[in-house]
Amino acid sequence: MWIEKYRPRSLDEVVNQKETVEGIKALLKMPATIPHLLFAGPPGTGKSTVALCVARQLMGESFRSLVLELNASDERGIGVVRERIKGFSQIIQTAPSGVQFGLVILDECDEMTRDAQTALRRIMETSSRTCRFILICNYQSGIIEPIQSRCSVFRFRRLEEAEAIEYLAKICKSEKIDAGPKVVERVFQLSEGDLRRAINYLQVAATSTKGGKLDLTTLEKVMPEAQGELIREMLKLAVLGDFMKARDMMYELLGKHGVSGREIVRGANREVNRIPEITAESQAEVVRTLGECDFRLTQGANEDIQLSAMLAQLSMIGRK
Amino acid sequence: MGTVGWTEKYRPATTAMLLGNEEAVEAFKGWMKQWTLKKKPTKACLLVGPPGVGKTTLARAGANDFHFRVVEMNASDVRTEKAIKNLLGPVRTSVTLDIFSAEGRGNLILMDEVDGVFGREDRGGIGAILTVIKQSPVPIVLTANDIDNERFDDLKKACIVVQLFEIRPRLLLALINHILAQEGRSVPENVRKRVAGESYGDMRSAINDIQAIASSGAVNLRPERTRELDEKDTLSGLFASRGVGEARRTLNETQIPLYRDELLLLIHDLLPYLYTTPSKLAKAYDSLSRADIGYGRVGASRSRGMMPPPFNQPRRDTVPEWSLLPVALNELATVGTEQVDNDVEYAMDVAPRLSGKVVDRYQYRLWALDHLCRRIARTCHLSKRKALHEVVPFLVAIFRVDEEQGREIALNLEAEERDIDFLVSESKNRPALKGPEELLDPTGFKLPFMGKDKFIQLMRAGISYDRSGGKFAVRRLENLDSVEERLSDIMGKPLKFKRPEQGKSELEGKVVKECYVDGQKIICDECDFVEECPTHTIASLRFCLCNQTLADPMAYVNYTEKNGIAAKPAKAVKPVKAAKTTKAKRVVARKKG
Repeated sequence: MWIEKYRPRSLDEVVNQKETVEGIKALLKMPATIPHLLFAGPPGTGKSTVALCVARQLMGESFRSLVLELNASDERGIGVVRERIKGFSQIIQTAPSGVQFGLVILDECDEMTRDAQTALRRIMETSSRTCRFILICNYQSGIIEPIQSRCSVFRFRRLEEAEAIEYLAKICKSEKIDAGPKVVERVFQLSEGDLRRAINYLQVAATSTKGGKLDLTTLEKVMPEAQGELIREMLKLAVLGDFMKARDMMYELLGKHGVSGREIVRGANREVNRIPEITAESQAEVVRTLGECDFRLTQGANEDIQLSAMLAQLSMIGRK
Repeated sequence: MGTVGWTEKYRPATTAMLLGNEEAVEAFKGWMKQWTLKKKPTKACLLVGPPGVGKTTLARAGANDFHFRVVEMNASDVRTEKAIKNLLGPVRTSVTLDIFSAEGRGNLILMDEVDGVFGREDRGGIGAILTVIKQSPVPIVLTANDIDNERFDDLKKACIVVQLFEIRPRLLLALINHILAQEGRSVPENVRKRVAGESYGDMRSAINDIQAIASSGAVNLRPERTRELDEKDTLSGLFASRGVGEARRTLNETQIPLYRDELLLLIHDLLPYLYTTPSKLAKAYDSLSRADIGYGRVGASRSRGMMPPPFNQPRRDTVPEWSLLPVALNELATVGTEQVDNDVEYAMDVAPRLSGKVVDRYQYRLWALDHLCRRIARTCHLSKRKALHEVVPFLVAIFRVDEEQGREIALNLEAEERDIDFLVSESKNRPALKGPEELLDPTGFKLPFMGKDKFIQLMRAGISYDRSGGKFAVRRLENLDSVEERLSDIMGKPLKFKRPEQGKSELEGKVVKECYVDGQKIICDECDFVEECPTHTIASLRFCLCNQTLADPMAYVNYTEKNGIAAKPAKAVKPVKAAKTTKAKRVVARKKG
């Protein structure tokens, strides 16, 4: 995938987040005293990329063996923290570059359970001689205070249009795709400031072009159906009062597409404005229902039941 | 009736009179015997067994055998370290004097119910007992119901553990007979047997019961278990109830296990059919969702409902908080306060039970997705969930446009052949839905040659292969829908099964039975009694039966004869009110004719 192919390999290649990158570069001048890092920012803004760049710079190209890269949302239980991270963090390692510590990159930390974070906090303290952490999250508020205070926090902004377009144009050039500025602009619009998604769109569109010419119509034609559309459809059915059909849709999303309950609720929240069937008066009620459902889902409840309850509530609002 | 309860009156005084548990008795006697020798054992004896099997009796009888005096302390009364030391202190010291006293009787400390020790408030209880065991110059016997918890590990090491088991019903019966003969009373044999059987090996409760029955003459005195309500009755009760109290009573009497969320899921499936008014439905669902949260807070393991999701199922390693369960049940009790629009029976008939089944239907897909996402996650530095949302749809889109290129990319992502197969089928899935569909005969169809992997997938999807004919067939015809979907997934193109139409000629591929009474042909899928018909799944039976044809008592016998088998008796067939069926019409027609 291009998202891997065109991932910057050193900090100098990173196009955006000038201040952030400068700050990190300054820290890297004294690698031995580098603190734990916490990167926060919206998806697709280069957090993981910067973390990998830092790892590469600290550890040299053979960094794979000296860096433990974990995705906290896949492995977010306390067991992983206790076993894998603790085990790794206590081994003293020497990188070719002379750095005498290991590096743990923990992606999507805000998805970790509180218990796991508490355990992590302790490990960060005890192993500070042998190990450094780079924590990555979307929402800084998802990280417990003690961990935040142990890290230098770097915020990542959403990409500026110019920066992103510049990067996309660069990709087009090296892939020998002839795409006008309008097309690139449209790709960026679709991605909502998420560079990863933008590159994905571009790649999919590029696959279907013949002779390297990419125009707007091809672009629109090959877009994968977003789950957003399915969710919007479900929401629409619900507020129109067709509970049964909306529920079938929900089953499809849950079962067939592997979307989690909370993602459905959040997706619905995004789509509320785009559905003309929801009147201004009922909008508030719809959003409140979504919020309530989101809360209930965090309480260890059954998604199936909670979402059905939500749809039932919505279909009542719609009938009013 | 004597003043002494029979349990006391007939408590054996010596080990020779004990009933059952012979090995345990021997072991205990061996241990007791050591105490009379010069070299005293260092360990205490721990008698473990369910209630009423004679642990205390064994200890007392054993002490009696070897002339010890029993000093009893109930561990559930005094459990703190201090209390135990206080109480044991004097006994211990006086015992040292006493042990070779003129009578030759030593003391034996009997501590009942030690598994009651060690709650939050009696920290140190077990430690105290251990010190006492170590220091004690006299034998100590402990009894417990259950010592499987690891907190008893130290205790087990300091004791010899003697396990006692439930008393066999036959022995219990003999005991009951013996006691009744002694008392000169008679109780009908079936009652005696019932008491012996229903006491589950608990001698004490059996004796208590038989005493109560014998003295009062009331055969049914033994408290019956509360009548348990089955699924249908529970639901009817719940949705007919006027208030929460009434509903709670229903819940108390149900046989559906409430510690799991079975009932929640059942209600969840039925609700849209019970309430068709949106406001009522919303209200009922709100109650259900609150009850569900209650269950979530209890934190017990739950059925998966819809979600087997490989992506977002948090693992729980907490201990269930059962004290919160009543809260959840109160919420659940409010689910049926509104007047239902359709009755429970109807809803149970028509509502598909989705919560259990959809999972199976999509399981294969989710596995495949999970596998693919794991690969992508590793190479793209993403989490599996991100891979699912951010990469897979694009990958599918690329496959749709250009399979060769897609394959190349997938291989770069370290995807395996099975992942690529999955992607190919995904990409062909959706747009092709509108295209021409292939129609297959579910009872025998041919498929193009395929690899072993795909073949195995087919077998798992509920399709069988007839080697001699070279044809595939659907194993269970009632699953046509789900098999169809998975077959299309696997083969990567839309495949439909021929479904016989309503007409007479299209009987192919349907389960068809003859009514054994009038020989008329019945298509099982169209018969409204198919749910309760025990025969439609058995292909070898030509005739079918249901309560519509079972008017006379000999019908079943006739029926089995006609089928040429001695079938097992069919399950009790529930009467069905909703008579709007083809078959019912036929019955009417038959009456006319």
